[in-house]
Amino acid sequence: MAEVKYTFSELLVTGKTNPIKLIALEGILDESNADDFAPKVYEVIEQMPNETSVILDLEKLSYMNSKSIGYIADYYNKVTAKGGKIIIAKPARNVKETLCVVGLDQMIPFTQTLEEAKLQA
Amino acid sequence: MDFKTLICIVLACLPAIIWSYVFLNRRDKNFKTYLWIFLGGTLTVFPILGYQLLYSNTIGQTSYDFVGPLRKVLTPNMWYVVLYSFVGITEEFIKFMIVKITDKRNPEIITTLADSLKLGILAALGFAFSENIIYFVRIWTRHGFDGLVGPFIFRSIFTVCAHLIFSGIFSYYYGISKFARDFIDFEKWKGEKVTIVDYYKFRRKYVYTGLFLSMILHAIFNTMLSIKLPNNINILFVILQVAAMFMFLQYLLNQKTGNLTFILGEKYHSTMSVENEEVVLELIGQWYNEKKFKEVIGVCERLLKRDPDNNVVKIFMNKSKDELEKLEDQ
Repeated sequence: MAEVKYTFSELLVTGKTNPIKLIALEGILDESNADDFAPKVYEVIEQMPNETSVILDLEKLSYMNSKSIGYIADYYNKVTAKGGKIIIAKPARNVKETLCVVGLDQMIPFTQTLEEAKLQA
Repeated sequence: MDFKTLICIVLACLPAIIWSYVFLNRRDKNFKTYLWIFLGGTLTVFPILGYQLLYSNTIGQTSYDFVGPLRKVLTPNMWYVVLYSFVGITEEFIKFMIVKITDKRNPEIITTLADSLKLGILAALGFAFSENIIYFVRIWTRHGFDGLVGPFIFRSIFTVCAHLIFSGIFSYYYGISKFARDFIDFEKWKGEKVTIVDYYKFRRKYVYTGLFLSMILHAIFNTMLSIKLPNNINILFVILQVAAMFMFLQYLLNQKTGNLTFILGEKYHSTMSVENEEVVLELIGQWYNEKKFKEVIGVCERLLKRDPDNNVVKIFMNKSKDELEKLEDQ
């Protein structure tokens, strides 16, 4: 079973009423763990107040399978339905390439740094 | 060549020109080759003539009634079913061989399913052309020129069209079998479990399905033309059959999937890594199953910029376009 480590934290940004939810991922998201990880993100999205933004930090994520990409598209729908934004920060080159071909970059902003992500959130 | 035969050849040319105009595009890249296949198709009538000649010079010459015992168990209509089914099946097999041999010698001609279908149509058009000449000469000799008008109109419209459709159907399926590897990969990315054995099964399945369909339809057509039913209801059936088959063939020709160009042989290398491309293909398969056709088309368009010769991506894209059109029509 592939290993994926994840941390959920909150970033306080001046001028924002709600703190930004930061989800940082490390390792590999594949068939063996994608379905275990997704419900945790859904729970965070469900519990967060409206107009809250989510940053996915993918710097240390070296592989995502198709199911995980499908989940990201679904997170986007749920977050925007609550009036929030979702931003992908620092994706690894191959992950970014896949996400761009899939077309997620047309819906979700990609940033090179976490600071840029905070500004866009 | 006598005057009668010459006129019959001219008459047989008319439906051949009109139907080729309906089904084929004059600006087609293979137009010259198509002409050769048409000429090849004209020769396919000779095995049938040879078999008729063989029959009349062997069984027909003897005093023993070979078919007598059969007539005792078969009603006249059943006898026609057997006889004309056999003729129809033989004709389709010969036309199929023309398509197959042409493709084996010049595999670059069939790069789309529509190409394959056109090849079958051309072979059939050649066959129908020769057959019409023979029928027209026979009818003119037996019933005079006045007796030829009705059969000329009927054969030009319905019989020639039916021949084109029978062969169009088997050749379309032949095309699918030719690109079996890509269609099998399409199934794989849709989530089906496939093996190398499935590839051979797939090829055989489509070749046999196409041949079986065209043979059965031809046998039904021949039988209905030859039997006698009250109020000529059999003729009405034939007309309806040809109309239905014509619509089916037009549907196949208009399919986006039917017109996608398959790349044969050497392909451009993808600018994406195999691992990443597989992730995208998996996602395309999932979204296709979830009927997210617009999304699939978008992803395929982007992926084809990175991997322009990927036949599987093209199948996904064109099938999604076909599905979207169906949904819009509903």
